[in-house]
Amino acid sequence: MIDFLLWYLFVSLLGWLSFPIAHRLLPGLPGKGYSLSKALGLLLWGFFFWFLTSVSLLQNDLAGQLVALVILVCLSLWAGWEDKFAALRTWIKENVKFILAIEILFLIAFGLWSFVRASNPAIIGTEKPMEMAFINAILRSPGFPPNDPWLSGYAISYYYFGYVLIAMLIRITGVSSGVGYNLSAALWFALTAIGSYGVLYNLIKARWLDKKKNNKASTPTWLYFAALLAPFLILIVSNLHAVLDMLHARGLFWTTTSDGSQVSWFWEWLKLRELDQPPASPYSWLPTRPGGVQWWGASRVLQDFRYNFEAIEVIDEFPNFSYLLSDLHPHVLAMPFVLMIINQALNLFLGGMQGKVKIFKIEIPFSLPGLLLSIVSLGGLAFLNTWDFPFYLALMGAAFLVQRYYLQGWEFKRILEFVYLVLGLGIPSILLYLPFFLSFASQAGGVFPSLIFYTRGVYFWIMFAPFLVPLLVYLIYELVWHKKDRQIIKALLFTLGFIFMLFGLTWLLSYFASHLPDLAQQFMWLQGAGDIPIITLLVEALRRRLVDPVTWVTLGLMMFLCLGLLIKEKGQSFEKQDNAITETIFHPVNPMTLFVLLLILWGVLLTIGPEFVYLRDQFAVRMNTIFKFYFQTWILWSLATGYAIIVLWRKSSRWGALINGLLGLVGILSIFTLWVTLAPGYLNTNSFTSFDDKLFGVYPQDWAIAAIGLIFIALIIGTLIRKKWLWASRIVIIWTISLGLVYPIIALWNKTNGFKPYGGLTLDGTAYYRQVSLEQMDAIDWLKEAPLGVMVEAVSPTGGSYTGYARVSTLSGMPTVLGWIGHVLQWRGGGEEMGTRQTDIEILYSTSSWTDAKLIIDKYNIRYIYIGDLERSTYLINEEKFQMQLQAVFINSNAIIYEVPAGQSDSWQGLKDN
Amino acid sequence: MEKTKKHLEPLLYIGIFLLGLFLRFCRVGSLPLTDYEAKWAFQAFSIAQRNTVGVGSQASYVGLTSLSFYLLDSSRFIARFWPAIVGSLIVLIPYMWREKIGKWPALILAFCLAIDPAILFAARQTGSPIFALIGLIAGLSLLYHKKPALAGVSLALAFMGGESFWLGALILGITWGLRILLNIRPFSGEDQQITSTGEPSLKTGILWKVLAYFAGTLIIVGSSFFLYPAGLSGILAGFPEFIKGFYSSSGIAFWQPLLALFTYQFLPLVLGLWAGIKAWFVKDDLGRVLSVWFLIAIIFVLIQPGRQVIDLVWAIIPLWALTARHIVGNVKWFEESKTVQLVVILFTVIMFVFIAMNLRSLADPALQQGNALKYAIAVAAGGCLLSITVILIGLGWRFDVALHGFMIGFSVFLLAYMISFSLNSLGMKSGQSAELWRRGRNIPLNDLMVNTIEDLSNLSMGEPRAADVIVAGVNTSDLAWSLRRFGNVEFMTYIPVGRQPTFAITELEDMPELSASYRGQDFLWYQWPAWEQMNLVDTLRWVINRQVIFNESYFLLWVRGDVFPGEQTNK
Repeated sequence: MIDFLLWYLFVSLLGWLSFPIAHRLLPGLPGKGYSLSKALGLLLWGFFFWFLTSVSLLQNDLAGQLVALVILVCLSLWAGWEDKFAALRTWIKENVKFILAIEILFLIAFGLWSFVRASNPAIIGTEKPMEMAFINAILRSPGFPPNDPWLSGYAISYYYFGYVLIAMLIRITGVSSGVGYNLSAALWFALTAIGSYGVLYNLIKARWLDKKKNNKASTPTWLYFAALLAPFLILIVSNLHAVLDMLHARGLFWTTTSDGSQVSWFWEWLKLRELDQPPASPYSWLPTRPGGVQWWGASRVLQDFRYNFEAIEVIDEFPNFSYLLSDLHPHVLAMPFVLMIINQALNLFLGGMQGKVKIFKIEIPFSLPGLLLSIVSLGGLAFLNTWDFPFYLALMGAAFLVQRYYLQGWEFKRILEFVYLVLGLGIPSILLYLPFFLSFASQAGGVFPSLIFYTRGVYFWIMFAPFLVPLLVYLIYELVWHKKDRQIIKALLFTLGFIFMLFGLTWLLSYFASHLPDLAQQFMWLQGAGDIPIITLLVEALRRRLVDPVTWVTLGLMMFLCLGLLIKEKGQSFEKQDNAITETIFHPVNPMTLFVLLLILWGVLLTIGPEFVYLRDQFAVRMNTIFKFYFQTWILWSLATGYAIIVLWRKSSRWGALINGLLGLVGILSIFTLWVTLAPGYLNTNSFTSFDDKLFGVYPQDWAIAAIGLIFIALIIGTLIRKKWLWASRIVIIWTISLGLVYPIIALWNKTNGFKPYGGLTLDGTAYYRQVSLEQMDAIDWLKEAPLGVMVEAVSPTGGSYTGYARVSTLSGMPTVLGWIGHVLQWRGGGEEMGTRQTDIEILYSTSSWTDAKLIIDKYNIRYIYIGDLERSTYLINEEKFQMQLQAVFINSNAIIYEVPAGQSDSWQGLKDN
Repeated sequence: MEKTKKHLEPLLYIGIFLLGLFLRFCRVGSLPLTDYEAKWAFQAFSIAQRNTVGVGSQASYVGLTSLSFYLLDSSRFIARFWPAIVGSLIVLIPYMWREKIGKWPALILAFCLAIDPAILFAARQTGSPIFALIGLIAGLSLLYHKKPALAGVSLALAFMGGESFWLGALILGITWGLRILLNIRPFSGEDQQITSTGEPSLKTGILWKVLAYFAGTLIIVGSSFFLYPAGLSGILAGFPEFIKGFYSSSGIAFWQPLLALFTYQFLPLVLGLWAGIKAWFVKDDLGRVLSVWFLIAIIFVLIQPGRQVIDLVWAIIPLWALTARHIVGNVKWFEESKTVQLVVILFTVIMFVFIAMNLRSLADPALQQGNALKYAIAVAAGGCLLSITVILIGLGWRFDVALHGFMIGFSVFLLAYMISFSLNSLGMKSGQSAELWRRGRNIPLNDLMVNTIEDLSNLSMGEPRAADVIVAGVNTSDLAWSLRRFGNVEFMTYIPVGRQPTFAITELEDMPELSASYRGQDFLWYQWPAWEQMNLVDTLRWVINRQVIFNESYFLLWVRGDVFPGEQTNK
């Protein structure tokens, strides 16, 4: 509890320290950046510390962090200097409700997810050990770049900024890294909640203020509640896999044949992993199939199929899954900062960055501090999750482009302005974080055409239905009912041209790839078409997409609708007020809608892109591209969906508002019913799965589920008969989003064992290791306090990824000679740096020759040799040579640590080695 | 005559400054550094050698000393040079405030601060609060007197002065807050005076200059004059140390600062407390502020589990200021009865010396049982004689003359007593000295061990510092500092199998692998007073004659057999 409070108080302090900066530099936003101030504080503090340490002006220690904090304070004082503090005070007085809303949301979200993490705290499985290793390695490294924990002698070659931020919080609050890990997951959840809340609040407040034409009008109370849709849609709503999982578990669409086997055309057609197998008996609504991990399946909805129909795993994480999993992966760690940049893009769009900067006689229409903030933020994003950098850099450029297009009209100069801005922001962003890029070996190896791989329509809809339905309704509503000057033909031509261009590009690239001597074999093998002529492959790829065109047609439709709304008539312009755009009576589309269209369009581009090309990495398939691109699409579309829902719902009369309320009640009721239906299964499995008591020949649980469906169907039919199209759409939207809530209910209980963790509630992620082997943790604790040096532990003969190997370096922060091989290969883009380490380690442990062992010790500058259970089970250890030549510095019943008596300059010269 | 008086005051200050300088530099390089001092000195030395180090909280000291080491020599004198210089400047602080507190009180204050044992001790130790103390008070004084450049530099040096800066800032901040809360105006009318001059206000003009000099000093000194830019981390390293002081124990008992106050500072404690209490009755605002400062400082020194006795320097300055003002305001010289008063003073001093000498004999552990009564009677008789004499003179001549004479005589005795404490810190007295102000453990035989290695190295290799030395299982900055001039020193957890260095230094334990081919000699390395073991009698004994029980720790110096003429060993 104390640890939680320390983090809460410190992050709140960071927020208040950086708010004057946000207030000054983001004047275009109605919320003045208050919602992003905590993330901004963290980013700026982290940047100053990391940068100054990287250029050896600070040490990686607490004092260095404090110096960085003082710089942040100075910046804050500068931001509030002269009359700015007075303006700040006035703004705070006028926006107390907004501040309270943010603070309450932050506290609830942070507290809630801390509780979730305390119910499921172990840092085991998937990539948590890797992230823990990075955090501990950063805490132990004397400077930056930090030591690679799994490849001694090298610096981390990964986008590690997020781990620096976490390590900084751990160090300044004095919590253990095991606790800090879980608090970070909760903190990032909370920062994402308030960040997304802020974006939607800014959008609807700007729209509402614009409508009223009175900036001093007080904010209506409904707006504070409406903005909650954003965190709800981003963090809670999930894909529909869990719904299908329930149907599958209940045995629906399965028939038993005469030979007793079960078949189902539906599930075979659906081709979802695990769900294409018959359900376990007895049936229940609760997915309990043997060997299945219920909360995991939702992240593997998509599958790619080679020419020979061999399935390939594709990752399609979404935020609720990611936070539930709580791998502190870069895509999660970047989320609050992505939202910060979306806010900055909105600020740019609303004219909040206006000003003048002259560089070599070139006048740039931006304020220098605003520009610098964007550069630091974008560069930070590149360092947090390099994948996101180009998307959001381009989004900022596009926001500016649309603004200029609407203010100045279309001409070629617009393209140049876009390019200038993108280069003007992009190049300095990279230069500012150059120390990172210099030590970073990217695994990206260019672009591959996605010829045979494409996303099946059903997968796409299972993945994004909670957003696709409201967004399509909204776009059609805006275009058909609202906008009178729609540019249908232009939009259609542009969309068709774009899609054909992508088709053509892919086919062309594929053709070339199949003829390039170095690439042809790998390319054809990847397609699963080793001996097939390329023409046959091209035709088959086309055939498959034409047979299942749902994904690209859906995306094409969305693009067409967006463009139809975005493209304006010639001569039509927005009212120009100090370079900011505001709605006029001449144009029916609200400026905020334009920005939302941009968000939707960006999601479309991110999802349609991997249909035709993808980034070539270590895996050489679409797995990571889909993962990263879809995740960003989720963020963008959830914000847009929140806005769309508010617009669609605000269009109602007083009676309509009442019906809205009733609809909401039905939605809540349906979730409650679902919960009541499933809860007994979690609380008492036997009473649920037995399905003993029938009510009118049907099980009560079936009644409950059917009732939900019937209510919705009745409502839809009723509204359609009365030609209340908008109402029908609203009901469909509520239904779809309600279905998206099935996953959080199932998964949360499944993952936390009904909030009854095996080891009791704790935030300490290393408690599990202590329970498993106290002796091993004692040895690791000893190493944590020992002077820094290279250590060696067992390496798995099969690579060791996602196993217990490398546990000592992971938990102690000491660099080991070699950790998880697969990951080391990924980070380095090859095995050159790894060399013969795997074999050398085996020789070191097993050889009887001290000379041979000494050679290896000297080669890797090894200081500590760890021998524990895992080493004994992995190698045939010859310990005699160590006993004869070295001294054991730690011994217990499980582990023994030998120390090589090398010079200890790092420890006796300084007071600490971190 | 007026002209002479005008010149006299600066001359007196110069004289006091020179006295302070002498006391701070006298034999400053002769005493070995304690292990705590060696930690900071070795950091500075490492920076001067362009090695990578983890810079701690004493960034001012490390920054300035590393440059001195880089340009000059890494001697003990240089190691203690900057604290001594900065410590000497304390006498100039009263000079800045002489208009406000009065010329004579300022002069007396300067003198007292020059000879005060606590401040003297702080100025002769590395890693002490001297940078924080003098930097902060001088910086604020200079800021008050609108000297932005010096104020910026002073404040920056204080800021980098370690955890003590934060303690001082907290004490002064709370004092300032209470001053406002209680509406005390020590220098009434000052605000009007500043604005009427038309000079730029603190907010607009001077502050930027102060900030510029402050930042410049931080960067230059913090980075050790760019010898080690990463040293900038040390700028704020004192803050976590300060916070740590509130939850982590230093091992200093609650009573130790109080004992230090009662023994070393008895004179200012009596007079200063009297003056402080009186200030609240006579509504003397300056006295009230100083008494609040003293009280806050005492509270904060005592309540911290991580307390250090030397932190009392924050309380001693207001105490001396109160004392100085009290002396000038209350000590009367009766011109018409000067002979009588002088006699009383002299008699009082003589009698107190007599009593003190007998007390000292009483406290001697070697005292024979039969003599104890004799000395006790002498003490009692001395006290009685003094009391009766003063009373009789008071009755026979004038009571106020006798009382003031007694007071002055007693003060002179206490001053002499205090000076003797100050001289202890110079290391001029023979024998072991146990001082409460000292931080860290003494290393009395440091030179002996280093000289032994040098002599034997010279004997075997013809070069005093050429031999190879392995320090095994001992990982301390003080050893690293002591052996800094040797070219071939390795610090290891243990001596590797097969290695036979010429010299090995280990802890005092059985080393069978060495004993066959090496000769070993134990050296007393650490020595520190066993304060925690002292009872009331021991404490009184220490108060009187400074004798305490010492804890000791030894190292073994192993010398390979073949170093000695006529011996062979298997290499």
